[in-house]
Amino acid sequence: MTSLLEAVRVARVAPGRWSLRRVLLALIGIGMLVVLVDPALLAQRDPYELDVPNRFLPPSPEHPFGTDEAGRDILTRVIHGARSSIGSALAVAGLAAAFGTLYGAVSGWLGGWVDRILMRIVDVFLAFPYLVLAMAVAASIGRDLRSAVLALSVVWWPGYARMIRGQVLSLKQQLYVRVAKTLGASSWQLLRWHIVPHTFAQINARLTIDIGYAIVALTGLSFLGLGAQNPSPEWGLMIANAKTYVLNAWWYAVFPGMVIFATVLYFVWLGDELAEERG
Amino acid sequence: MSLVDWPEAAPPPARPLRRRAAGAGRAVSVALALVSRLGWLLLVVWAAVSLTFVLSRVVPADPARLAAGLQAGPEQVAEVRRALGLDQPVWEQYGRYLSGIVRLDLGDSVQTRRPVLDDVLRYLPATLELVITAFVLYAVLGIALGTVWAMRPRGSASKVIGLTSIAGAAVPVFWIALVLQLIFGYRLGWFPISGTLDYFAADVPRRTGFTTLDAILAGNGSALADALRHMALPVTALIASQLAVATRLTRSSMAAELRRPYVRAARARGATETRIVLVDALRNALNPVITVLGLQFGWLLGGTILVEVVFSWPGLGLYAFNSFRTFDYNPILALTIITTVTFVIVNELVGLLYPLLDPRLKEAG
Repeated sequence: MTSLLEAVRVARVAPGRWSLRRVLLALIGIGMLVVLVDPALLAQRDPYELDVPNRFLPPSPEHPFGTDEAGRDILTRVIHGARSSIGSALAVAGLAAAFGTLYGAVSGWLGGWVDRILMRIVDVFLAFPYLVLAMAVAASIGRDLRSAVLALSVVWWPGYARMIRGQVLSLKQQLYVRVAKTLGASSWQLLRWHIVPHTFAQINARLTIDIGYAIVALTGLSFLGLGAQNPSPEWGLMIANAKTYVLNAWWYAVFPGMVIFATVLYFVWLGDELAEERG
Repeated sequence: MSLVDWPEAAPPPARPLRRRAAGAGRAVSVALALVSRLGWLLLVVWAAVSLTFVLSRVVPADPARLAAGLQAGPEQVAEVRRALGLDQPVWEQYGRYLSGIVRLDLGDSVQTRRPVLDDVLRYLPATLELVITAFVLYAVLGIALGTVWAMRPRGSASKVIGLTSIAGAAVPVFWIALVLQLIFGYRLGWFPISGTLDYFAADVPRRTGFTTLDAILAGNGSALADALRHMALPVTALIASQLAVATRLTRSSMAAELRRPYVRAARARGATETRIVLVDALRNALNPVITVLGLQFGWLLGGTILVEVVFSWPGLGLYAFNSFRTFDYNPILALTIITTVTFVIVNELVGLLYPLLDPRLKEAG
C-alpha cells in the first residue's frame, strides 16, 4: 500500500516520464496478471486432458508449441503453469522480503551487541551455497511446490536483512527521526512510520528482480523432482519430463524454457526500471 | 542469489586495515586473526552439521519410516529405528551424529549399499573436474569480456556482450544444458552428449579419478581429446548461465577505475590504452570481482547438480539427484556438509588473494 503511494508520489514529482518502454512493461504486466488470475481466458483447452493418439505432434497452428508425451497441448500447459511457476516465485520473494525486512530493521534499530549477533547469524546463512541448502531443505520437508517455496525463502531472506539493516542504520541518524523521537514517538512508531517506509523503494526494485531469479531457482528444484509433482503443469517439471524425449520432440523442452527465459527477463527489466526511477 | 545481491552479500572480509604493529605485537595480532578465521570456519561447519541433523532427524515426521523405504513393514521400521538409534532422546542422537562426523563416518547409502564416504570419494573427482574447469574459464572469460566492455562502452562488441550478459542470467542452467545437448550433441553431432569418456575409448586406468589427468598419466592422447570433448558442453552450460555476473561486475569496477586520476596521469604520460588497462587498472579493478567469484563458486556447486543430471555426468551431482529420487538421506546430508565446507574454504582462499592484488592489505595483521 505504502509502496503504491510512493509510486504515486514519484509520478507526481516527475510527470511525463512515461516512455514507450514503460508503457510496454506495464502492458506485459497486465497481461501476466490476467494469465495468473484466469488462465482459461487465454487457453480454453484442458491442461490435463490426455489425448494419447496425438502425442508428440510438432508445432502447428493447431498446437503452436506442439503436444507432449500424453498428447496434451504444451502451450495450454505453459499458460496454466504460470500460476504455479510465477505465483510461487512471488511467494518466495514476498516471504523472504517480509522476514528479511523485519529482521534487518530490528537488527539495525537495536544496534550494539544484538545487532552483532543477529548479523553473525546472517553471515552463517550466507556462508551456505544457497542452491544446495535449498535442495537439502526441500528434500527433507517434502516433495511439493509448497516445500520448495519454503526452502527457497529460508535461503533467500538474509540478503534482505543485510540491505535493510544498512538502510536503517543510516536512516536512524537522520534529523527528522531524531526530532520524532524527541517528540515522544515510540520505537515501533518510528520504525513503522518514519524508517521502514523509506526502504520500500529499494526493496521494490530488488524484490522485482528477485522474483525473476526465484523463478529460475524454483523451476530448478522442480526439475530435480523437489518441487511440483506430476501431472502439474509447472514449467521446470515440464522440462524434466521433456528431458527423456529430447531426441524425438525438441519442442517439448525448448518452448517451456523459452517462456521461463522471457518471464525472468521481464522481471529483471522491470526491476532495473524501478531502480532507475528511484535513482 | 541475484545480480544485485553478491557485492554486499560478501562474507566478512579479512580483518580491515590496521596500523602495523611492531615486533611481538604484530605476531600476536597475526595469530589472533588466524584464530578468529579458524573459529569462523568451525562455526560454519558446526552450523552446517547441526542444520543437516535438524533436517534429517527433527523435521521429518518419522525418519525411520523414510530410512526403511516405502515398502517396509512395521517390524522393519522398528528395526531401522533401533539400528539408527532413533528411539533415543534427541540430544543423544545429536551427540552420536556429531561424533560420527568427527570420525568421518557419514553413514551408509541405501541406494548403493556402500558407506557414503566411499561413494563421495568415488564421485568427487568428476565433479571437481567439471566445476574447477568451469570456474577457471568463467573467471578468465568474465574478466576479459568485462574489460573489453569497459574499454569501449559504445563499440559493437560491447553491445553484443551487454545483451548476452543480460540474457545469460535469465536462462535456467538445466534448460541451456538441454538446448546445447540438442543442438551440438544430437543435431550437429559435434560433441558427445553424456558421460565423461566414450564407451569404446581405449580404457584408461583410474588413478586420480580426473578423466583428463588419468588420460595424461596414461600418455593416451586420444583419450585426453575424448575427455575434453565430453567436458565441452557441460562446462559451456555452467559458464553461460553465470557469465553475466563476472562480466558486469568487471565492467563497472573497471569503468570506475578508468576514471581515476592515476589513469589520467598515465594517459598524459603517453602510455598506451592497452598498457593502462592491463598493467595499471586491471589489478585494482579486480578486488570486488574476486570476492564475487568466490561466492559464485557456491552457485557452481549447486548448478553442477542440474547440469550433471542432463549430461549423465557421473559426479556428485548425479549422485545427489539419485539420492533425492530414492529418498536416500545420508548422501544428501553428507553432500550438504561437504559442499558447504568446500564453499567456505574457497572463500577463505579468496580472502588470501586480496593482499596479492593490493599490497596495502599486507600491512594488515
